[in-house]
Amino acid sequence: MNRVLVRGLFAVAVAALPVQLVVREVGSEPYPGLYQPSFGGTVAEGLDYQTYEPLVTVIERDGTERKVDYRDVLPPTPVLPLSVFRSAFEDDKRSQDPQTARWLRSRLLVLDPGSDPQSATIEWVRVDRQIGSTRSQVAEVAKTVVLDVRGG
Amino acid sequence: MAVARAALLSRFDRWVDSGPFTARDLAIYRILFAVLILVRVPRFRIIDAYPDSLYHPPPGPFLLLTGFPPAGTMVGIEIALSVVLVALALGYRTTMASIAATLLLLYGYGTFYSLGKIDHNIFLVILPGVLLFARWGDALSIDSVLARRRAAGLRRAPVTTIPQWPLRLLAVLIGLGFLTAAIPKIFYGWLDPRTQAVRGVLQKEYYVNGRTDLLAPYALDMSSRFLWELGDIFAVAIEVAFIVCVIRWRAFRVVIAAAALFHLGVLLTMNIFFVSNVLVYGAFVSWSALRPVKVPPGRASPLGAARPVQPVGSTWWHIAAVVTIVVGGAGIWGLRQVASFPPTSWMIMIVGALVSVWYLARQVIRLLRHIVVRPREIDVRDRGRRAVVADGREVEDDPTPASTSTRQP
Repeated sequence: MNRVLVRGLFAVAVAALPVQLVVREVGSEPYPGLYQPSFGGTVAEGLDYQTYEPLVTVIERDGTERKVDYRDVLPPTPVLPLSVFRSAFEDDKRSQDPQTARWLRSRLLVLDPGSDPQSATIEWVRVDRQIGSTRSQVAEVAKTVVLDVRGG
Repeated sequence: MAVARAALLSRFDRWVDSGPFTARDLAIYRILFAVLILVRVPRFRIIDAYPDSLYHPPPGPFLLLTGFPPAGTMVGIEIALSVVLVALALGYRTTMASIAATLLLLYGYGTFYSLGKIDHNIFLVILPGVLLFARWGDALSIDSVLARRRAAGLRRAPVTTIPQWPLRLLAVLIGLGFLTAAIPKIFYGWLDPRTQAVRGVLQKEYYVNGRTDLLAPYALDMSSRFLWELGDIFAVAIEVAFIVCVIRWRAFRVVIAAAALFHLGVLLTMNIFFVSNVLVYGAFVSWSALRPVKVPPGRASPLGAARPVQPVGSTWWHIAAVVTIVVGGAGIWGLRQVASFPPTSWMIMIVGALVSVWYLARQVIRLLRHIVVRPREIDVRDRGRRAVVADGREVEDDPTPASTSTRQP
């Protein structure tokens, strides 16, 4: 291959590094992109750290409530389930789309075929945890998403 | 100024062109790579279980689509990828197969990542597109057989050297990729002794993401702040080491060997598979060193070059190859729908770790021999100059024998 082209390839690869870092910091990670996982936001100060998790509550036609694990709601997923769930139900545009509600109802019926879910509430909670301890405490409900999943 | 610039560029070119990789090394790796991916082709069609309202592509070309592709399209991608990987394994139209493999993997994984999370297997995706320039189809391949026929017909010797720069480029890309991970870690305080970054990641994976298998519970119980801080430092250090050690092939190989062991440790304690990275590191292994006959660096296998040409019409070669590849690829895809294949992820991680331990042990033994034993003859090409130590005297390499100097050690 042409010598100048080879040098150019190396130069482009190196020059792309700061651009990639800025793009990820300012916006979000593009694909395709030459990245590896940074786990940048998971550092704990001392022994305390926080996580951000979903609590799913389904209300049936007869008024009963049942808690559902978010992992059970999802079909087989090729990537981390929490990330998929967050992408789906943390963003208002995606979570409030009627197609999302219909899909969620179908998933809840897969979990419990005899049920008739009317609404699903997803509470995004901030959980305080401590390194070296199994204790955790829900510090606050950061966001609540309610979906109308009635059939028909 | 111009002279200095020319000298710098010349030095860069020599560095880029230097390497120990032979056509056979890359050929063996090509076959391993293609076969291992072939038995692990993802079920891209599972994306059909998600509605288009959840389509959340990352910045990039997938923004051009408005939703997930239909299941039929993704099944087609799976079959096409299987066929292309068989072509790659057999070394038929290796250039086109390499490009197709990269594009199909890019597309297939891109649909997965449009669920809102990117898994970082980009090295594996781009690898075929990079190594095609190293002519990884030049040996142990249908292409090489056909090339010898053409060369014989034109009464010229087939090309036997392979370019080294694609391997160097791949190494640089890996180094830069890992820097995108190391730099944020440094800025977010991973090296701060007050923070317990690795421990925090482990706990999150355990309690939030449900990764509780293997050694995760035992790792969770480890309370030594010193060891956890060492873990933080090691994680950052190894990610930086890739780009630093890319300068020398031996140093880079030491880093990827250590990284393969690190990935195994992450798998055991956090249940996170980095199979794609370990698979990519295999590109830098001298697979032909397993042969009894040593092949000079940069040259193709002499056995391959000397094999007599078969008097078979090339048209029949092409027809037979295409039929085999299409039937084989589709057949293997079909077999995977009804039968379960062995867990290759574990196999790749364990074999990667074993090869790494073997390589690191060799480096330690080599180092000890340098320090402890006075060798009769040492090949020091990896120090950037060739010198022969004979009976304790060191002779500096020089193309003009008259200017050769000797000195007592």
